Amino acid sequence: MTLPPEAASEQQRLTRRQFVRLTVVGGATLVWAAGCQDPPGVEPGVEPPPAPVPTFLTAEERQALAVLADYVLPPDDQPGGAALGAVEYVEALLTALEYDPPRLLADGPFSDRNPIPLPDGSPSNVYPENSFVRFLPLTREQLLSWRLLLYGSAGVPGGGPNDGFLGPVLGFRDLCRQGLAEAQKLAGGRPLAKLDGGEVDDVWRKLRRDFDSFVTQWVIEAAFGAPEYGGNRDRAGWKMIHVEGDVLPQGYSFYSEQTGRYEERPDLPISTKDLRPDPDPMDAETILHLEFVVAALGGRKAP
Amino acid sequence: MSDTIIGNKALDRFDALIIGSGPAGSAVASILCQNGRKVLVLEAGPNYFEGLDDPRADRPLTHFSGDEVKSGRGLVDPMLAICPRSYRTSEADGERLGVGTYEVLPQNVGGGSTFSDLKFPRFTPADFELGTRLPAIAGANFADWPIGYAELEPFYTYVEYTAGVQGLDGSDPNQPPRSRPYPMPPGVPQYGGLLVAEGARKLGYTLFPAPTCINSRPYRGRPACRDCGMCGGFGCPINAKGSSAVGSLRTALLSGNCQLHSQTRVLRLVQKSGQSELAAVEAILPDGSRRLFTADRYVLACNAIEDARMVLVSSPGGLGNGSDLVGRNLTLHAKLVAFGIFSERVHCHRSRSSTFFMTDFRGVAGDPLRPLGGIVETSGNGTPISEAIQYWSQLRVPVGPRLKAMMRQGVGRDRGIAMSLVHEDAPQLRNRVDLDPQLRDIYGTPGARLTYGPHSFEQAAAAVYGPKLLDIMMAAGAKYAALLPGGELPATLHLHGTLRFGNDPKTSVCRPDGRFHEIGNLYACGGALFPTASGHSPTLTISALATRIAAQMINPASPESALPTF
Repeated sequence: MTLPPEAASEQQRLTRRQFVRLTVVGGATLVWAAGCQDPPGVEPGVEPPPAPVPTFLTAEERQALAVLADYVLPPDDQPGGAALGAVEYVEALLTALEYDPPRLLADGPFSDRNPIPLPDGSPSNVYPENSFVRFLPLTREQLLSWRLLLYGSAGVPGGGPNDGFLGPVLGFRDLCRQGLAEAQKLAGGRPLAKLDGGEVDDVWRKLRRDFDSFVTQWVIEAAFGAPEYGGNRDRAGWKMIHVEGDVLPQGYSFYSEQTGRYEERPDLPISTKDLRPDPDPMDAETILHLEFVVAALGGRKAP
Repeated sequence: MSDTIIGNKALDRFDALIIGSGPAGSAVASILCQNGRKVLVLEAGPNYFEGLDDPRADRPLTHFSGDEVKSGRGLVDPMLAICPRSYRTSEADGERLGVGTYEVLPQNVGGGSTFSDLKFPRFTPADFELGTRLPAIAGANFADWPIGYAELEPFYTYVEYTAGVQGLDGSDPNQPPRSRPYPMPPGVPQYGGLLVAEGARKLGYTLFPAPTCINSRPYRGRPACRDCGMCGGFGCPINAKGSSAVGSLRTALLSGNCQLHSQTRVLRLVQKSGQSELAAVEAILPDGSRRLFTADRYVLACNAIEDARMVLVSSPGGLGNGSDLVGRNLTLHAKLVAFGIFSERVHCHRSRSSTFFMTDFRGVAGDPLRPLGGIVETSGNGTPISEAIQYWSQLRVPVGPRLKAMMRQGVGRDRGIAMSLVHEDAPQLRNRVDLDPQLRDIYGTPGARLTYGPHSFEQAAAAVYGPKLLDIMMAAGAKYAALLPGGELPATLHLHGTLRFGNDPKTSVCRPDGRFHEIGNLYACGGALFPTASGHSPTLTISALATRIAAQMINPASPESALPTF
């Protein structure tokens, strides 16, 4: 498997950290239910020299995409779309087939973000190997589908199966390149980064509908997806919206065979009220928007 | 990734060839193999389990994870080039309204059950008799099932015990008769669900723990659920879900009588020359080459849409289609969703998808004041990417500061509760699967065209029960509540009815034992057989019916006697 340098070093870092954790816990008894992988050992060895990172976007295109990413999720006291890694996420997607296996479907079952629970359900000091940093091989059909999606009809021998009556498929790579070129054109040739907020707003509103839809979807995925795909830098996307992300193997509950009872996490309960202060209460504008939506749908509002 | 051929690789002659490894196909394989029959299962999709045929207690391992990006990238659903479909509401729309992956179900070892949240309610006795119990309704085509609840009950129990279902006996006021209690008690309830249960109680309704095929205790070598919150739309990383792969299919594989080929897509059924029997199926192998597979019997177990498409692509006009009923009477489930937004955070995203059901809105056949509806499920609003997409695409929240604020404030995910009425969809001859005249997959095979338009039958039920759902939501303490607008094509992924079974070959495609009236060695076994869809999630009934059909292949006179001890 070939990893880009940043991913390779991430894997090295994770391996070292995991070694420390396994060492700390020593001989503690761990729960490892059927169906879970055995806690892996640490494989010492020399990492191969990093392979060159495939790229697709030009520096100017990356800057333009960063501006659009920040338009979708603007920076405030929390990072915006660009700082969350949206550009890196999109470029990783557009170059995914240049890796073997393609960097499209991260493996499982666990990241190393959550500990293995002890017999009473409390967290241990042992964390599983991060399997998200590996990627699954694609089947022949998945590979062909993704080639069509990323490269379009021109990238597949014989084109798409329905080009004859639906027209050729425009791949994500061309869609992205054409969309960014259109944005630059709408900006009058000036770099998007030089525009003020109102001007970016004007560009966004004039973009091709499918391009702005894909950018929105990609920025959302980058911000709130697993960090192994290139976005959600430092898990800032999850922290910002107060979610834990993937939570296994610990999970939110634990059935104790010792007590015959389900235990919930006191910090993150399932069946009871969360007693922590609300970190982000609904503000007036959200309430206004909800009232508008509910009225439009003929819904109800509590007195 | 696992080898594409697993199980007993030495087998080269088969009593049955099953197309599809989902709930129906796996159930058939399990019963046949445990009765000594040799079975070949061909699955179009990949195998995300490692060691499914390995008897060691810590197997199978999985490649699943709490990874929302992966779920949206073709892990779950086949992509457009593989499974293209078109859609129209009626013939008046012309050839099609659009092209997409409409109503597509996962294609992988274990089928839809791998990624389902596995709500497992039983149908009730009345659900099998709607042809008799309902008056004639213009445009609708209700019919009785050729078997009744009593005949299916032992098979419900067998599936509940072998797959592992949690539930609370006696908690559903409309519970059908049961020969045994649920094998496991309910797991942890959602806080939001408890709020709704209390609101419903004030109004005289009863919410009860949802019967779900997810372990609440270590059961049959699989661990208890840890409520990771990524259930529907995700494979279970720890196998707490009793999906078909880790349940019945694994049983078949460990018997030594089963061989499973994944990434092996059947393209067509090959008829014996001049005879009303199949000679073989033609499939594409993982490397792209083609091969014929043979067996004594052939079992269609894809899903109601793909089963019908398979029959239609295999012969002009469709194999065994003298009745012109192949593909017709397609039923989904109508879906009415009421959402409530609460001022406090109710964190429904921290558990299994749905922890409470209500059957008070199932209705009574023929009672205009209580029209046939269905089960109500309470659930949360899932994971952050889908939350953000929903704000933007459905609730018209503009991108920018407002989208970010809604996400930070967790309006849908952390303060929202949904009550979904999954209700009876009137069968109609005009609602059907046929072949799109132009659309092709990468192999040049015609894609399925869905012609589907709602009937006033389900719209009348929605009109009665919609306001009552809002009553409950407000009684539960919601600050706001509304009904979500539904599309013309309900997105329940519950597929039924295209190969209806019955006694009369003029009004049905298959016989009561699942065999085609007109093709001697071809069977259907899943939702395609359902004459009516009921108002309940179908996976348990699909599994129970397929189990019974397999048991009838072993012992036609006394299928129960073919059930292994459980």
